[in-house]
Amino acid sequence: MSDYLENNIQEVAAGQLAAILQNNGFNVKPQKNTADNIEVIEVSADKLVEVATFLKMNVDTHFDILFSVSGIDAGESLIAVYHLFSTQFKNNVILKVWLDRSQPEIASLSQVYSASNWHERETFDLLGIKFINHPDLKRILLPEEWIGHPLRKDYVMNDSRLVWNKR
Amino acid sequence: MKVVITAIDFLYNWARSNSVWPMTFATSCCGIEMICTSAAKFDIARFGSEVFRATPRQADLLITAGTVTHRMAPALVKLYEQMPEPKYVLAMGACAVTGGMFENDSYSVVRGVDRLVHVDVYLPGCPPRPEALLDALIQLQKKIRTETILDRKKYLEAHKPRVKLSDDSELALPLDELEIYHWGVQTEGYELNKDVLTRKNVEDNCVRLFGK
Repeated sequence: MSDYLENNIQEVAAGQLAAILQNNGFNVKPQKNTADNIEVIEVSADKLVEVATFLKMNVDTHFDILFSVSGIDAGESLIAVYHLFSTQFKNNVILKVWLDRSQPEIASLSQVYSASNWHERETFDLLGIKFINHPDLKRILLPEEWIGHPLRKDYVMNDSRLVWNKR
Repeated sequence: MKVVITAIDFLYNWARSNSVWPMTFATSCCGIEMICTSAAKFDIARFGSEVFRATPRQADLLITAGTVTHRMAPALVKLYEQMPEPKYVLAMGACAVTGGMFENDSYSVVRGVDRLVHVDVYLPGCPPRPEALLDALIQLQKKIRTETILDRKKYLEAHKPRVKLSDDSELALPLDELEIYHWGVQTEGYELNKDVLTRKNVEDNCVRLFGK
């Protein structure tokens, strides 16, 4: 088994995954690679589930692990970030989805990768990105009645119920 | 009568102070030092406190080893209320004393467990060494030896939780008669905070509050 894995590791050249996706009819934009040469691909919000399903099921890519869902507050927009890993080819890919700040909604990946369930709850908790079709979208780290989403840049904590915690 | 009570106090406090049973409440890295203290090298058993209980109903001492967040606060208050009287709290580490490095900007950290419950011994350090925890335990033992059974009612009054829990809320809510402790200074009547601090302002306020 280990011989098989060693013989089948393929070096993925820059832009190769985006090219595979584009050849199969997905409208994705390759972004600049990260410093440790991980490919970053911009995906539109309505195509995310299809792209992730393709990357998981295709024999040339076979990204079978989703190991992080996180988010970035980029001013006008929020960015949902997905880190995928392939145990067969030993390579990573990062999917980024730019979302409108006034209505940050994106389809949940929990039907494709069940690991995304709690990660998406955390992203919802701290950044307020709503994941449509998520089985149990509620706060995971903060108390349920918390007001606001603390990792947004414009967050100000002014909850009168927590006045006992003031400095 | 006084002689009898003093004799009873002496025996009672001697027994209690040499068998302080702590509860396992380790919320972050201070917990490692607490575990280390109970292990063979530092050996908290020399002071009669080796019995770390996993239930509040058998514990005398709550060592809050680590950061306490808003999510954890109701659990801490609930555990504290379940402990039998007389009960003691040892705030271990900078986070449990004042909030530590999360003091200024954190949205989720409680600024010291004394906002939630009455604290008997404060132990600073990030994290404190096991010797420091042993010293704090000795200080607590000294404090227990000074108590008398006549003051039990006063003691019970002082050891109520400082926040209240609600059935339909996960947040620890303020009491109706709200008391906020700012480093031991009550905000009420402390008017220096309200104005912009200039030299003249401070002088005027000092004259008004304390006289020339």
